[in-house]
Amino acid sequence: MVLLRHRYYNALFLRDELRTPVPVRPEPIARSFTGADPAVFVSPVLDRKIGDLLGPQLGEPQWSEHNMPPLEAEAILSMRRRLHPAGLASDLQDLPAEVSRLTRSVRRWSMFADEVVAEMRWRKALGLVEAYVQQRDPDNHLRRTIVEAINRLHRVEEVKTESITGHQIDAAGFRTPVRQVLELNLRTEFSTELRCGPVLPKIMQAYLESSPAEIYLAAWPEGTQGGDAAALLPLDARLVEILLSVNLGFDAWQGLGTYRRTLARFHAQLLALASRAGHKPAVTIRAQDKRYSVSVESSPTTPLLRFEGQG
Amino acid sequence: MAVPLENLTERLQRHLGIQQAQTISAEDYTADGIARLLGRRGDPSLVAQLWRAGDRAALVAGYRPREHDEVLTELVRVLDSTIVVQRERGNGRPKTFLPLIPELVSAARSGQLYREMGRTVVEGFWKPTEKQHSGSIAELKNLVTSWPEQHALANLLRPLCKPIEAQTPETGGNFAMAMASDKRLARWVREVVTQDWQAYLVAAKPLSADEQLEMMSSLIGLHAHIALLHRLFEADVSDANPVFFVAATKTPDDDRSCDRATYSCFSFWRDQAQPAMRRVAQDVIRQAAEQDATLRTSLSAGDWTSPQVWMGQEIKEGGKRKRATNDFREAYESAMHEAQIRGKNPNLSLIEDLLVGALYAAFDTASGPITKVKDYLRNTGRAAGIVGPEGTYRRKRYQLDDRAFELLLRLHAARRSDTVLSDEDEKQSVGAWLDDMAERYGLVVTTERERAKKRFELAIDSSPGMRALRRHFPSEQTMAVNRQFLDQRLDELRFVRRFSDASSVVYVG
Repeated sequence: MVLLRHRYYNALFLRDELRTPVPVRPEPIARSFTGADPAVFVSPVLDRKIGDLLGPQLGEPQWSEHNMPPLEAEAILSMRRRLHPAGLASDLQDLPAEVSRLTRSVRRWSMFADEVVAEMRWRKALGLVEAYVQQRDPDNHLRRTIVEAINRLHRVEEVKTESITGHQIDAAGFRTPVRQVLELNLRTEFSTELRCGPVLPKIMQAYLESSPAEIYLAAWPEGTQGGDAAALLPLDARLVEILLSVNLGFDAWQGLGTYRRTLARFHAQLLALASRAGHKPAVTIRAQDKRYSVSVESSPTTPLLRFEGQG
Repeated sequence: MAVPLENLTERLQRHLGIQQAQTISAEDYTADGIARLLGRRGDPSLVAQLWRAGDRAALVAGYRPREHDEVLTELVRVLDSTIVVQRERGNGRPKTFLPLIPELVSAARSGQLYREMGRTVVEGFWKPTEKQHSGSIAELKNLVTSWPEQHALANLLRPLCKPIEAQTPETGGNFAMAMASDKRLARWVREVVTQDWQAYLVAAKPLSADEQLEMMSSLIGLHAHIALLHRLFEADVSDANPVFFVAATKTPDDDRSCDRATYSCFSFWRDQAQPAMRRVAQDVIRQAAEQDATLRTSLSAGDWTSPQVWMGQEIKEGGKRKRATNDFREAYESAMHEAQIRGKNPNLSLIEDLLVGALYAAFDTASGPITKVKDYLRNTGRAAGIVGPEGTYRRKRYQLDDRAFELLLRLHAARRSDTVLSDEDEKQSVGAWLDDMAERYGLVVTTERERAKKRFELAIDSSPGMRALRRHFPSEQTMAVNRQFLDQRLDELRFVRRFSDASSVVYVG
């Protein structure tokens, strides 16, 4: 178990120095991989598979009908023995932590295994991003994925992949959860396209070890010109991975992590664009499963709030 | 009748460049600043009426309790967590709102609500920026007036707030006066503050209205905080600036030595309010003696009778004048009596010390100017995200919270490379950012950086009072740990791009 910390897949994401039995210093580049670390990625199918490995059974641990490497196999066998009801009582204290550690190691190792479960969304996300940058995405998979997820975040129930809905949660709702009861009817849908920054020539890509390019989802009110005025959502593999999860139904705002601000900013720009295009947004409040549009009407004496129930 | 003694509260405020040493939020500085900038305020009393359960129904057209109560409660809940800044004690009703539209900045009782703090913002930060970079005030106005466009709530509330023209052409606020008398502060404003506001105008463009306002309040807080440190900083060397160690750890428990160093640093600067008030008290006594021959001669008469003339002195009008006068007389009388008993020689220096001590004691109360200055330092630091943690259960310390990272890194990314104060070739690198922060604000994450180390050495060698700061700075090992925490936080917040040659560049999406 101790040695697993020194394995190549763990060293790839190493943050703190390892001292025993062999000193290992983390590479600075390891910080860049944090976002794609499969150890912190929960996939029910993958975790069930890991759970099955640790369950009581005879024989060598196998992964997709292949024997596992000796070190990993030994760690799993050792854990199986400890998880056995007749295991030593003194082991119990550290057991949950050790099971977690082993699970994280196997999650990372599985990244390099031949058979990869479909739920490894970071791979899919990276594939989508790379395909788009390398112009291998004629069917607009990346754009459709992003647009569908954004619509789902706005509680659109059908699969809507071409344009962003005009019925949106208030932009600030992505940052301040209490503002999620506030919904806006921007009175227009938004056309979308992907934009890509310059891509390095192949000869340079090999030299620089990477081929970075900025990718943005651009959106603008339907019927207007996008151009430079469009709202831009910067995309990266991590955000695409999160949005893939949203499309699978994990659409709670907490899952957006540090991208909440980015999305709030993008939607505030959409609101501004809609206003500039002459669409006066209508504010709606959700109260106990009912929606009310809120407006202020002028009266000879004092302005008054008007609530109108919807649906 | 001899000249009255100046009120120490007013004098200390003027000396430190604080418009009024009162405990208010940085968002209210911004609100008052914006209202002064645009010459417009409003009457948000109808909005405030929403919080009065008995009266709010009158604000709804065709009010039907069964249908409207829920949605009204929900609306108030959203507004309460979004736009309220100051609340009334006891019932928690709003007193001030975020200035998303200038009409939400109350024209009534504005002096009491905002304490004229906007003067510091306009005269101290925005006007000097306009002087250095013409057109920046117009850009700032455009930015502020564009907020309702991207803020549905602000747009909704606008018809409920009656606009009121409120031109405030006054000049000569306390911050402007402090700048006029302190060349070091004036230079800092000219070189750092003006560049920061230029960078703000660039950095704020892609942000949402909420974030623009938040960043504006943070920047105002940061500048107000550092400006106060400049005034509390007693240095004999002209190019020395105040410095402080700041933790990059997420919570105080992450590293105990970092925690200790940062709260010691914060306490050190907070406690500088006391020597500052003592210096001001000495100035007041000397000024009174200069203006009045009887008072002047009493100091060097060499007996215990002549100095008693000071017991007839009154404190000039201002806060708690009567109580302060009585306290001053009593403290002075008792100090003289004690000195007599001890057989001390009534020379000029002793009498002056007794007078300074008595005047200081008269204003050193639980809610006196020192406490207010400390509150000001804490509030401005919190607004900038450099003082925390929140809540009353922990000692306050210098720390970088998410808001501070957002502010400092966005500003750095928006700066012109020739204005970044670093010797690094890559001005967008994390190293250059650390150098720049140490140079601009005296904010030291680690003295492993040459520039930060030089700033620190210069500050502590600048005067005997500052030498104590050395023992509050942590060991090199702790600073290295702090740097590691910084790197982790930068990664978590996705504010950095790292490359395989171990270089890291500030990146704000």
